Amino acid sequence: MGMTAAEKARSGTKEWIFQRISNLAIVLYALVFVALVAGMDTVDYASWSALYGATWFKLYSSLTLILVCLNSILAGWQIGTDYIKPEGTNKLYSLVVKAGSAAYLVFGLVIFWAV
Amino acid sequence: MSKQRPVNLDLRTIKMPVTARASILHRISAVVLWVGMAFALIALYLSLSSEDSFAGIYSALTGNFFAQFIAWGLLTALGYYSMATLKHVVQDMGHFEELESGKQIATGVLAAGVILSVLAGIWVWA
Repeated sequence: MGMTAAEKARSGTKEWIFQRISNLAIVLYALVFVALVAGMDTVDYASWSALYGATWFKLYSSLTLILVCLNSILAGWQIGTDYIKPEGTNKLYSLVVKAGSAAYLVFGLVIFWAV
Repeated sequence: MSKQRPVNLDLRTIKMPVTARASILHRISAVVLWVGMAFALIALYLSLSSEDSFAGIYSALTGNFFAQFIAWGLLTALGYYSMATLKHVVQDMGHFEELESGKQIATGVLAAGVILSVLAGIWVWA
């Protein structure tokens, strides 16, 4: 998922399959989330914090977030190779994508498990 | 891959067919979602930290146009992203890959994205 020579030489099949799986995980999470929230009798603090307090939802949200962040690094790399040609700009962009994705992962896991 | 091949990825100079529009919108929706995740995670953090801050987020999402617009934008991006994902999976399985059928599924995905966007607007504002 990076820019090293060894990774460039790979066929990309694993990345393609990973991308589809993580994309479908995002779609499924969106469906589950919308169904759960739309299905609440009243959206109040009690029902909202109960949803995010449930262990299964913490685990499910964490797993989806990990896939999202890995996927965003992979997709960010794809987009960067298409549109950002200058090497320095590309490296800076790549750093922003990786740092941003890592920050999302840490922040999200803190929210799910420590708030 | 030959380094000499002609390459033109300057999107401003390309008149895009519907298949290309469907494709580039998938990327745009993904970028919108990635950037918007910052707003979503901050809102989620606040909504779970205390009953008071939940009330703040709740009133923003029910009464503040700017917050509602961001929520609607994220839902719209998520809806289109999901439709385009399903399109990819369907095409990976060998369907809708010819020129005409490819145009059909691209048009269908764009239409589904618009419908989901309208539904998201109804959910957020009504």
